[in-house]
Amino acid sequence: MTFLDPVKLTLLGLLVVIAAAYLLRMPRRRLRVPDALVARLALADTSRINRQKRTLISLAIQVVILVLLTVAAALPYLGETREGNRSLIVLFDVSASMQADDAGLQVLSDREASGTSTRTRFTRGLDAVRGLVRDMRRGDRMMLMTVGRTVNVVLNFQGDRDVIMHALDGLVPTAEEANFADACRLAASMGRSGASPEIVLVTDGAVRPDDLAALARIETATLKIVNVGKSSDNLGITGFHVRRNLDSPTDYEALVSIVNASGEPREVEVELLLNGQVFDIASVEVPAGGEAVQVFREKLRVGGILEARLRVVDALAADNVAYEVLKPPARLRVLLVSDDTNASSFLVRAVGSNAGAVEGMVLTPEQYRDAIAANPSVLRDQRDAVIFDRWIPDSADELPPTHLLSIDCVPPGMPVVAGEPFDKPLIRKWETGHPLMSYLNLRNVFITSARRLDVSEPKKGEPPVERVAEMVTSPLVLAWERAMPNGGTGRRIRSRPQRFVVIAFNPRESDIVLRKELPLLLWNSFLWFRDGTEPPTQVAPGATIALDAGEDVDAEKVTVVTPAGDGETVPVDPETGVAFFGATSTAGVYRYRVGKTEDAFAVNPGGRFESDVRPAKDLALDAETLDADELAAVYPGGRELWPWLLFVAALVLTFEAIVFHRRIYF
Amino acid sequence: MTSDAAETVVTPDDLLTPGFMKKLERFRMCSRVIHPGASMGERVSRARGSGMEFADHKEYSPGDDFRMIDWNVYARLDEFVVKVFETEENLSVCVLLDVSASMDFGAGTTKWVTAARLAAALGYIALVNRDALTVFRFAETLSEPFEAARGRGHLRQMLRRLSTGTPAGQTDFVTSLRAAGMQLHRPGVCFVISDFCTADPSTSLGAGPSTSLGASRLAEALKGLVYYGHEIVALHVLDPLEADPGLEGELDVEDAETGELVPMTVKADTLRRYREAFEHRCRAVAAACAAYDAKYLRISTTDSLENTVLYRFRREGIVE
Repeated sequence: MTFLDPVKLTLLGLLVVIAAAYLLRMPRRRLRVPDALVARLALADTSRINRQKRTLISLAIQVVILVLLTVAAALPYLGETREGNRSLIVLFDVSASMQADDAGLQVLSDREASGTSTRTRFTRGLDAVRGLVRDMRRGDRMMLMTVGRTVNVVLNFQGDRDVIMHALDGLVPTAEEANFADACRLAASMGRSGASPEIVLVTDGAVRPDDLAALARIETATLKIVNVGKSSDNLGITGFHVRRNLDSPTDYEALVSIVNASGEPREVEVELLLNGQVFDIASVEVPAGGEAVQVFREKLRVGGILEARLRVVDALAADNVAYEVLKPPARLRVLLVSDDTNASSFLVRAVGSNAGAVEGMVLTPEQYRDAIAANPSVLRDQRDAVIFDRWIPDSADELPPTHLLSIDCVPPGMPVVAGEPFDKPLIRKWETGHPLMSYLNLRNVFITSARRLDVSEPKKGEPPVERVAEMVTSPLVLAWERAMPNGGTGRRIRSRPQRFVVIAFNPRESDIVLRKELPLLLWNSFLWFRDGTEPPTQVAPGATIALDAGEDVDAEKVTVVTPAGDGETVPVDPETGVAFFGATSTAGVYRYRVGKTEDAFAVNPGGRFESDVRPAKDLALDAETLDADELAAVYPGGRELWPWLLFVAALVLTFEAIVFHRRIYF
Repeated sequence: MTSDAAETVVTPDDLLTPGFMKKLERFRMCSRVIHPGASMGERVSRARGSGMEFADHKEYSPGDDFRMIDWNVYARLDEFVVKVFETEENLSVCVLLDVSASMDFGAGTTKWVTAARLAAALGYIALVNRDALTVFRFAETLSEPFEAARGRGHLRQMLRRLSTGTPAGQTDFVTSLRAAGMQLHRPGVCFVISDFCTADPSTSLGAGPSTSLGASRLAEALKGLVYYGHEIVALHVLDPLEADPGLEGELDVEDAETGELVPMTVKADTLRRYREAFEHRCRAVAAACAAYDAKYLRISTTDSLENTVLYRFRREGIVE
């Protein structure tokens, strides 16, 4: 037994005071009787010796109480002595796989079947850390970090066990993927700067050994691992995406990716629900340790919350459900500004070729100019794309705040200068990987005349112009994007790009009008315009999402309702019209409101890596492995004896009060 | 121990009330034996003499008074027969009143006051019956006696003597009672009014429960009276507080006579043991009295004086 505060033992000097108090005769009550002989007779058997015994017992009790209190004040500690104080850096895994309860895998026989263990890896990890806290002694400190998509320092070095316990009580598991690489780098830097800290890694072992490499290089710190995971089988949804068929906006394709983290192939039923109602189900065979994709093709005329669900009970229930936000079907609204408004014009025909997907509108330059002059914001939020055919306004103010496709002309404000036409250009190359060039083959395309384009340096903060296709001496097709202007407000919406496509020749002076490349180029342009311009419907857990206030210039805040039903408000940046929301650790559907507009986005668990809940076989670390259950069983109150000594002192005092002062038993 | 409301000081008028005295006049002392009196009294003597009541005839013997010859008998029987008359003598009554410090104890009326009233009542009965009354106050030693000749004319003097002074000093029964026995001129009834508390630890009262009564010094003291032919009546005056003094906690018990302190720690059975010791002590006094054929009465300070004298004394054959 050692004393953490041995100076307090000097309080034993008070024994002198107690002894002196017993040596001094205390005044006693006096009772006058006719004959004291009767009193002597009554005390015949309990003679002076007993009185002396009582005095000695009382003195002994006082001495015992003082000794107990003094020793308790000196903070005795039972166990092996430890030199110096401990500095613990606890990296606590809060990733999705920590929600696994390591129960067996079984396919549900019916929908009502349920039953999961409540003791998850997360709970076991918490219990283990609580054991570590209980084992802390005076002077020991603990730093607590949670490892999810980001590393959060929950508690800086703290010695108060109650504070640490309170912080632990506030931890919740997330749907995030563990980013142990960053966590280990941070812990390593702390380990190098501290005085020989102990880095304790609390994880289920479902980590990439490479992520722990930073810890392996630390020489000044001791590394310990608390592995709370067991080898368990799991089926999980690792991807859930919905795409719309632009040819037919009511047709949707839902892709569900399922991983089988077990040693045997599994067959599982996948349900597809819209707004909570099942409307499709499929049985999927997933190979052992592999992945399978199930595609649901549906025709839906409404939007809503799409949900994919596995009918299975396995180690990790969180990844058996995934969500996606399905937008209502909408056609692409395209405006063609051309002096060639003949119905037989190839552009008019191209815009109107797919009436189900494109809502076309044709204006002559004069009509366009008149409309803009009458109301500059007439096209605001009315058209998804505008095609300028051989004519474009001279002023950027007359351009609509939308995507632009210019044919044989260059939009003002773009870092491109239109030059003189030249004859018979040769197409030298085109970027087949660019979205605009999908399925295009410009080989042997004959062009009679093309306009020379000189690309200049963009303004600071703006991206360069992409040369998607080039002639020998000049670009043929250019692509460019910048932040979308918020029409009339002088503000640009950074989260929504305004995209430009410039075609440097007149298709009428080419045989491209006779080939499939022209409609493909137009269609690819439309697809590119739409790609990434709509609000995101999914975000990775723990990631920050930019919620666009759009044209609602008066919006000051965005109210987000989490899957748990809690409402959170984030302010809108008045400069950009964007609100950033980062509390996306929980899987589920988040609904938000900007002004009068309501929308939603989904957060789905970590992905394939988190669904594979099997611990890594070799973490390639020279670390001591601690047993989670043993840590959790560390006796409450630690091994400090002072609470027990106080308890015994209280018992002795009670004994004295009852037995001595009340004189019941002796 | 006396409470604040205790009656500790008496005046002569407090001892006897006129009404009570009137009741007492109907009684006289009883004696198991007839003791020869020093003077003519109001009770019949064993001796035949010149009284008024005819008792018997006896044959004339030389020296008899010729005036007592019954001439009628001589005329009929021709024999000289002398008439014998009963002789009326007075009784020697002695009251020994304990005035030691232990008598100054009581929650209401102290033992001293109770004893003084008892002595006054007994003395008054003796006076009205023209008995020879002697009153002693004793503690460590015997005080000067009050010797009344006869008759109620000495009542006032007796009461003044009884009410004089306050209890003080220790009790020495042997010395006091032996001296009283020696000072009394002739045997009679001797009332010992006391709480029988003594400071002498060697007496039977303080020697512990196992001490035999025959070896007690109280018995030795009584023996001194019996030796001179006295008939003893022991009136043991007690106060309820003696049996239940309200012991509690840590305290020092102080002897009223010696001032001795007995430290006590009152436990669960201490009170029980105290009561047992007190009862044993009372029984020891009664046994000592019984050994010398003395009457023994316990009288509580809470008892009514009239009830004690008029009924208990009568029932016990002390008065008639």
